[in-house]
Amino acid sequence: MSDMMQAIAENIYQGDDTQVAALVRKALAQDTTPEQVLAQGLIAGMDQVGRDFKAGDLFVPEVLVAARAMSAGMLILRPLLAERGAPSVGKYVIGTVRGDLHDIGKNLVRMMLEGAGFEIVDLGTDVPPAAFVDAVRTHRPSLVGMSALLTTTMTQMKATIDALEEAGLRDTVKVMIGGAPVTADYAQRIGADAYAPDAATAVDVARELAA
Amino acid sequence: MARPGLEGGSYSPLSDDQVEEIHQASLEVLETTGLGVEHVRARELFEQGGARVLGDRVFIGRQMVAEALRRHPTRVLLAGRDVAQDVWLEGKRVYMGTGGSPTTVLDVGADTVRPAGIRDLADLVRLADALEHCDFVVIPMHPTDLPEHLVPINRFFTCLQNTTKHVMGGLGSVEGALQVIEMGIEVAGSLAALQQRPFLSAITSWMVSPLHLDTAVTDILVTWCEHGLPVALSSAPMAGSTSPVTLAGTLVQLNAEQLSGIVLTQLIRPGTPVLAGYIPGVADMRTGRYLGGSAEFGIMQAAAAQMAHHYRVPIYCSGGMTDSKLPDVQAGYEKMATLLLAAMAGGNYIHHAFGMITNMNTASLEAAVLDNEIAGTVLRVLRGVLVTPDSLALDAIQRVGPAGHYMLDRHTRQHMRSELYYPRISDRADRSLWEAGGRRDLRSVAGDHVRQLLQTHQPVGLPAEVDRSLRARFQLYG
Repeated sequence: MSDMMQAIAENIYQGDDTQVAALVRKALAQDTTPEQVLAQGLIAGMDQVGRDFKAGDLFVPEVLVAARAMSAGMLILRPLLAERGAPSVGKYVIGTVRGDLHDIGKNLVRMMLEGAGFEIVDLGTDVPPAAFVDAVRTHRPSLVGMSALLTTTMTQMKATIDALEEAGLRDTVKVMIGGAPVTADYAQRIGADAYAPDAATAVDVARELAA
Repeated sequence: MARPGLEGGSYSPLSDDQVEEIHQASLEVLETTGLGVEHVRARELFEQGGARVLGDRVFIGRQMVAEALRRHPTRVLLAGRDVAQDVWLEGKRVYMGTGGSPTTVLDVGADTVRPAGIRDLADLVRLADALEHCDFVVIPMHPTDLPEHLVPINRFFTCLQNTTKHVMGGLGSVEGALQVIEMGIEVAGSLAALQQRPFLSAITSWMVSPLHLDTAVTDILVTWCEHGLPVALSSAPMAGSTSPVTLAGTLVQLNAEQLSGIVLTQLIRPGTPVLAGYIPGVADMRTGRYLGGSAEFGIMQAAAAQMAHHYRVPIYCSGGMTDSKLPDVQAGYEKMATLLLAAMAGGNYIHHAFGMITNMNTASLEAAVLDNEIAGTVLRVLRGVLVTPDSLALDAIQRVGPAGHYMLDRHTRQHMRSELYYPRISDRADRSLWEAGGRRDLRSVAGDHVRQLLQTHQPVGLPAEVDRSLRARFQLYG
């Protein structure tokens, strides 16, 4: 059995999403619990990815394929875990703010968060404040993440926070922001809960906020 | 007399065959991959120009590119308000100036940054006006202390108050663009006068790499081109994340993006003075972060200059960026490497070269003064070795003969000022003098220089009546 868990972890590390999905199904069929598969297979694999990434041995694209494999496993496990009442890591609404079409940073954060087990609602780019508000109302996430690349669009982050406030939803979520012109100081000034300088840090920050 | 603009071109990382290979590959990208264009007017223009359009996807044929390349001017004037500050972009002539749009400032002597304000922009531009190797001003800051809709007009106005060098910048919105044009007309007297001597120009970052047009900025681009004023296209992919990780692959994509932009400008208004804006960044594959100071940036910038020369289109490019947080050793070598490569390749309009650290995030006045030293060195490199009967110095060698010296020979006095470059603040003194002077790091000397220049340099502002009339029309600060 532990061989099977190790195989899942290894395939996570190698980023083989097809293998991970197949092995997860096989493990479940052999009466391993979803909690076990998650902890000893998927998370064990991602933990190794995290360690090697922080040590500088793995690069971002390798982390992303591992995260994609993790998502493939989670797709199977999530409904089973929910059925059994297992606590989820958290739901996360993410988007690039109004007027901004730059999404590489937002996509990196999204994929990294998926790899950490977050359930993601991706609103895409050029997302007006009202769309963030609607998504928060509909999906009831614990976190909202906003991205902006342009100095001219970063002000939309404040507009979105204000809109959440007006809708009476601000206290239901933690708001994180990021993007090239954004700073921790700016996050504080506009009333965001946190700032992350890069995708890997965003995962750490999100975990902390969701805890 | 315009600014000199020395010739570059001695560094060419691509062979002629490789230039052709990249050109052909870019044409194939435009034909088979195409562009994503949600902007309706741009899509119509492309279609009327002969492009194949499927939904939002626009495919541009070779013929269209060839036609556009026959229409754009090969020589572009970016005027100063003073003729002596004119910049003529053509061939392999090299000019260097400020750029980037940082929202934070590193104060003299500080190691933490603070939000940038309109006063900081005024100071940096006044400094750029004073620094002799700075050829032009690309608006080098984004003030955070003004309402966003007032930023474009105030950025340009502040620059005009503080320099007579050419001013180029991003415009934020169509409304911002129209206001800046209105201000330009007020200063010049008429649109025709502004077109003839454009002392203002626009940067339009209309392309979100890979191959996707930014609808809002395309709006600005269309508006600006319709007024017949010079425009710099800018696309800034990152090798590894928004373009292929290979340098050749990034060049193919970036070149395709630029060709599509040239096509669009010439469809909007044939003869639009356009600068192809190749900004070939790199993603740090360990973090995903943008890198502006890497060697690969410099190499690709040089290769991009070769592509632009091939098309005889002036190039807006970048050199002198750094990923360092301070004007320190890393900043020094990254700035020198990227600026030198871009200049030696003959990049025409090299912005980002003065007063910026931490990529495009932070402005530093000390860095601007230090960058002037780097730019001076780069210009000396461009001058190369002048070989004439006089510089070969046979007469002097004969006069001095074996075991003599040249300190007293008139040939030395004749040439010593022009032949050698004398940096302004770099420390070349004996160690004992340096110790007696307080063992100072060059950054702190640069700080003194900043204070002194800001105290003494008086820029030529706008005429009083123009200033009054602009203030009556727009909400202007500073």
